[in-house]
Amino acid sequence: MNSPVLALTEAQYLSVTELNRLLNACLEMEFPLVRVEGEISSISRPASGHLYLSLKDESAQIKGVMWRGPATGLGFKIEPGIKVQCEGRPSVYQARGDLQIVISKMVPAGEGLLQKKFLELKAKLEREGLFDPTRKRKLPFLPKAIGVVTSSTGAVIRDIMVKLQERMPQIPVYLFPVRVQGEGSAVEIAEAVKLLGESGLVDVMIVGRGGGSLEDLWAFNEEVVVRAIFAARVPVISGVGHETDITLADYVADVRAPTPTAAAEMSVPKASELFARISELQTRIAQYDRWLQPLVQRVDELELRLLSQLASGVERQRLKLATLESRVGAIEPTKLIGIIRGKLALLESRLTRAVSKERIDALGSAVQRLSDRLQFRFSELLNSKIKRIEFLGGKLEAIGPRQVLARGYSMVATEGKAVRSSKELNIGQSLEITFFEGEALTTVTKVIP
Amino acid sequence: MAKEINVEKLLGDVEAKSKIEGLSFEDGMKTLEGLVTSVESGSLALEKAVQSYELGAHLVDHLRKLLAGAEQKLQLLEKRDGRAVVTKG
Repeated sequence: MNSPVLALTEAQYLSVTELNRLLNACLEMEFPLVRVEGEISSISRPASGHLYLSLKDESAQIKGVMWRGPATGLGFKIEPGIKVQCEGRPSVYQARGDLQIVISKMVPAGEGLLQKKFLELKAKLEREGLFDPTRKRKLPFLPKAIGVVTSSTGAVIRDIMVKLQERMPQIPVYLFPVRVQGEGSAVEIAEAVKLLGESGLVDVMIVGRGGGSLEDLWAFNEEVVVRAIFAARVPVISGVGHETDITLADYVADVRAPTPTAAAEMSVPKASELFARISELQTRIAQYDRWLQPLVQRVDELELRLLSQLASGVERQRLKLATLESRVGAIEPTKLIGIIRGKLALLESRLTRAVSKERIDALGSAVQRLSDRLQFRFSELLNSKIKRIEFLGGKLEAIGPRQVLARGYSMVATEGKAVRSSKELNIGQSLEITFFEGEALTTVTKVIP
Repeated sequence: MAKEINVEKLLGDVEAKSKIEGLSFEDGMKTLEGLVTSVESGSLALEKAVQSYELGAHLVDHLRKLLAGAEQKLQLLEKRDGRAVVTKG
């Protein structure tokens, strides 16, 4: 060993400072880095932020210090009694001559081991297909009841109940209380999952616990729990720890929720939203105007067709009337009215049949309105046609023979046949003369061609 | 598990109302949506449209009933004779 101590002679004395400095130099050379595992026996953290502690095992103890920088980044709660694994360098605190380890890194002991166990089990179960996404079951849209496997004390069940109360207060909840950490807890959880699934009481279940260290959450990494969730009769939602904690229970669950509260949220839809959707659909189906519209349109079409048929019928009658000038009274307006009334009655009966099955007042009134409108249009049409026929009748009369007679002409007929030429007559033949007023009989005495 | 009912079949079914009462919430919801859509399409005859309206109203009642309920109830379970049994309501 190339130690500075070797240079000393018998007569030389070192100062305390020199000794401590030399010891430090030796330590630095011989122990540039040590890894030590032990239990924390005492700890203090003054305002400076540095961490002072003692590490011990069954028969020895050593002081340690962790400067503020590395001490701030510790990912776990440090307290007396826990086992830690440290990395650092031993040195002598000059002012007191105390030997201590300046710790640069510290992790909870056993964590590494648990981590290793976790990864090994995960790989094994993965190979068996327990985490296969294709075998994950769909959660029921609206469960009839929800099962919960967690501790009966603590915030988790309370948070779940608050969330369920807020979303869907009408669904009953069955709690199977279990211990969620410590010896035997995994077996309890596994059994609860199995029995709850078999009970037939629930159609979905939440399995979970609140946050904690990897060790606290360990039950949810146990094979027995993972297998029970895999075999559960109903879909399982896992909600273990916080968002960053992922356990094997999370991998195997049908749905993984980041927290127990989130699991409650995923288990049921929001009642208020469902009520809103039902109301919306109810409103839409009640807006019969919208779906009645095409039907009304069909009736409108029918109405138009009937009207145009009636109109062309009247037109035909009018033409006939015009060509039969000499035959007054060949057409009777009352007959036409009869035809139109008949068609109206037919339409009315068709409308009546169309609405006879309806039982909705509003629908009835809609059809009634339509029917009223139809009848109104018919009576309008009828009136105008009657007027037209009366007018045409007057015209016919104007060009009829009676009007000619009124002007002073007379009509001569023999044997009921109008006489158009004197050649048709013989002497002694009797003739009927028709005046505007009255008639006379006479005899032919002379024929002038 | 019952699936939502085909609307076309439902309209011709005299048992329609009792069938509706057997529907789960989710299936009932789908059936109601089907009824509303077919009614809104305007392609139904008046008689079927009116029937759809009536069945729709019936479904709305049914769905509301399924959602109706009192306070959230928490019941505790424990293992007894290898089964989960309610110990406290």
